[in-house]
Amino acid sequence: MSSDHRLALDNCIKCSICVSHCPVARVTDKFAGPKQNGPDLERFRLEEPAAVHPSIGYCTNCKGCDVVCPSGVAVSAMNCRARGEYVSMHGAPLRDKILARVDRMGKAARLAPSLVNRLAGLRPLRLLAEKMLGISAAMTMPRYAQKTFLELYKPQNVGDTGRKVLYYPGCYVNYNAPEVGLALAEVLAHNNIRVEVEQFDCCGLPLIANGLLDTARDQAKKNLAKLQGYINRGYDIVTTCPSCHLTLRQEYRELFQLNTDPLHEKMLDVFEYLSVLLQQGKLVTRFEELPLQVGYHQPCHLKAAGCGVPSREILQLIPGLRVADLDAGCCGLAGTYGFKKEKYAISQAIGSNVFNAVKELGVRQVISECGMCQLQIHHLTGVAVYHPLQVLAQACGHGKWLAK
Amino acid sequence: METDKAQVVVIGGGATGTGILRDLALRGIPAILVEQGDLAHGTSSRFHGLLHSGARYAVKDKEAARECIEENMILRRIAPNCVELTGGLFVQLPEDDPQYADQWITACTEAGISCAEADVQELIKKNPVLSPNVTRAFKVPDCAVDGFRILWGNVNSARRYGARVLTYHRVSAIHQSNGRVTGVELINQLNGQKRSIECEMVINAAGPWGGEVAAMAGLEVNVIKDKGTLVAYNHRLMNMVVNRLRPPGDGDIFVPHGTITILGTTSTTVDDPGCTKPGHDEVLALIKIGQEMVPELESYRLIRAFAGVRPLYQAGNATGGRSVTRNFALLDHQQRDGLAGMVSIVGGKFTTFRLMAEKTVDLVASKLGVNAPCRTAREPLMTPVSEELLERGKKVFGVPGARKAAERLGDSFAQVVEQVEKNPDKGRILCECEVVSLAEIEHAAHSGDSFTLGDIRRKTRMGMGTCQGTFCSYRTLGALSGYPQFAGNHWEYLTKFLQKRWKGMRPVLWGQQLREAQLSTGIYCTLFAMERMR
Repeated sequence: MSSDHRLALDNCIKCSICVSHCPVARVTDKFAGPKQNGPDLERFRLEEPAAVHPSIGYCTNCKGCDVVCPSGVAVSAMNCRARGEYVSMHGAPLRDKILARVDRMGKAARLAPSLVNRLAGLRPLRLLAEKMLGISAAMTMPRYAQKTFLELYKPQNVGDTGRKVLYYPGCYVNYNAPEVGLALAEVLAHNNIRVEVEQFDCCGLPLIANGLLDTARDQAKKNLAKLQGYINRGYDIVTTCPSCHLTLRQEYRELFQLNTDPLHEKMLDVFEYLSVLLQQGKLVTRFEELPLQVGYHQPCHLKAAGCGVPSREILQLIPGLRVADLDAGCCGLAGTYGFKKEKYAISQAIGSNVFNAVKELGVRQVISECGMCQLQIHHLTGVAVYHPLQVLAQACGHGKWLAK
Repeated sequence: METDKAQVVVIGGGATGTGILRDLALRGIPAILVEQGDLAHGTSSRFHGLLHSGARYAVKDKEAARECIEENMILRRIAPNCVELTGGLFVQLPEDDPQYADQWITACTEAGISCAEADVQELIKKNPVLSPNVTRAFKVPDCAVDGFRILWGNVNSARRYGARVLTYHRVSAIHQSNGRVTGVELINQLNGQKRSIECEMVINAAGPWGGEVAAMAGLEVNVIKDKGTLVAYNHRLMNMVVNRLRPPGDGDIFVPHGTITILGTTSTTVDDPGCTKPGHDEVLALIKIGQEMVPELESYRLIRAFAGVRPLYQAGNATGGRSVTRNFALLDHQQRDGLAGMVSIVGGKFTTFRLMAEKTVDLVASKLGVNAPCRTAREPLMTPVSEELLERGKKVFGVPGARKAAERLGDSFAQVVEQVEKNPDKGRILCECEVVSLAEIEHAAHSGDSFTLGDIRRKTRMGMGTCQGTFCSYRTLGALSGYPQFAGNHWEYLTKFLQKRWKGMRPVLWGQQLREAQLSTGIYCTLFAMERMR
């Protein structure tokens, strides 16, 4: 254990703020909570690495504990490492190994996306998967797109602004929601900025969340090297997925001690990037009127990234658009978590706040940056859910970005 | 006034006293142990928690060193759940005399202590907190030992053979007639009631109070009271005991003890056997010396400091301190002072308590005409917890919770696991720093010798972790309010408990422990409207 880790361990003063903010501990006692699994048991793990409580598997890795800790303890990183330790000792169930490889699932689904989507909706098959693998039959499966974002993306001819932008789409946009990536290209084209794309490995978050740290570390090294190459050539890197963003910028350093310093200046959430343009007076603010009321859900990982709600400022520029904050906390899906049979009910219980907020506000459309949050909110409420970029692209005037 | 009868009364509920009680019981000699406080509230819980290999004493005190290694091996065998086989290191730094190392190796070999030279680079890799300047290092069979647990192990074992224990009973008089001890008079420290025990023999095993006890019988025993202060770090800094390879001095031993690390000690002669107040200056001095072996020591969090009094003994007049032998002395007061029926066992150290007990009871048995041989080195203190039971425990407490509870509870672990299996609510963790469940707390409260929250603490470790009782003390008290001994004034219970915790925190109040204390003060003084820290 490095000196930093030891000091992080000493910094916890047991105030339990993390416990009171933990969305999982709020709804179930199967999870001993971030403090107990984190700094408390870490002291025992120094004596015996096997001293990991199995309840560690119930952490959703929302990182709320890190955000609220007044002592600056990275509780969730401690928990992630412990889960990695637990999995390396006890192994992971096949189900977790499958769910953790969203990139492979995406590649496999490429063969016949329609068929996969149909099969994923077949009740008997889902019941079988629940029985055999432990994948909840009740949870809505993400739909695969007919073509991936990388296949669909065509560089547009734009005027030269001297800005070079590389887009890291992440697995979900590439395989399931290419329209988000296309909306990004549309919005940047509106500002005369051309987007470069490239094939990346999965950021590794699903692997990390399932305790498969070794594979995640390998992918992290590859991604980081590739990104560094673009940074060296003067590119800014933008992301649209808060989880990818957080993993690349923060988790690589916290969990794998990789040097992510170069990413700190050069990698931005796309709305952060647009905000910078706005501040410099370089954002094209010619928007069409959009008489809409939408609810906004802030993904946990966006909160953890510490960049506030970067889309808020930009969306306010759209005439007619009213954005109401749901302010309901975690949606509960947490990537692969809510797909697990034993965790589905917990995930739904956490998400009930979001459900209530949508009902109370009476909104029929919700926006959120995270693909998995989008899926869960749709599953919980049935309303249409978009990435804020789709709204912005709509206001830029080309295409039907909100028609699903 | 209540009157009891026993063949032997043992005064002092420390390692030696409980060891003696067990030895007496195993030889079939009816005995009662009397102790003024809770078991192990004195010297036997106020030490490093180090089960010496003897290497520390090898050069200067060969006899003590040989006894240590022999007893070390015996305790590993008879009390495996009280001993953690950490192994120990002796490390040499550039400023240490290299010739001492040679002398030390020879001495260890002669005393029968294995000391193998270790690869320094590998050692530092495994224990990254150690100074990169270490020049040589040797592995010795040091261990960590849990004082509280061994003492209760002794008592529980003795009880199975009919022995009795009276805690919170202070001896107020030793009766004698015609040059022979006839009994003792006791005062119950909790309710002031008097009580007497008729006996044929009194064994004075009162440690630093040995002189006071002897004086009650009109005898003079010169116990040198040598205070040592120690500090406890919030987590395990290393996984082995680390000693400095030079003549024994202050602050040169680190012991990983459960989840914490203890560094000590200092050495100052005091007058009061109950002087357990750690000094701020002593703490700073310890850290300064400790830093030579662990350079980053200052940045690690201390949770408390504590002090104990070594009862040293040297026949004749001596000043005290490091120069006094760690050997023990058995005083036959019949032979020495003409008072039959009384012996005193003085000096020695925790590691050799069993041997001290054996020698004492050998003498006492011969006086009582009992021929039964000593069995304490052969018979285990408790039945080890089976793998199957441990697995059941893991299901209800998790890995660390089960393992710790099994070590703490020994023979009673099965009962506590059963409780939780029947009623999962009882598995709730009340002390999160040391993973102590409601079921375990209730078990301790139920035992019949827990009268204060401090007693529960010594049995379970509740309140001994990072938060030093901030969260677990009110939870525990709340859970225990149904027990008659905890049905009184809750403000008083908490004050007594927390003041003791704060006594240890006060000398180390900086950094994160200061923030912890602020939080604690906020909870108790503001939220619970209690008084300021005193």
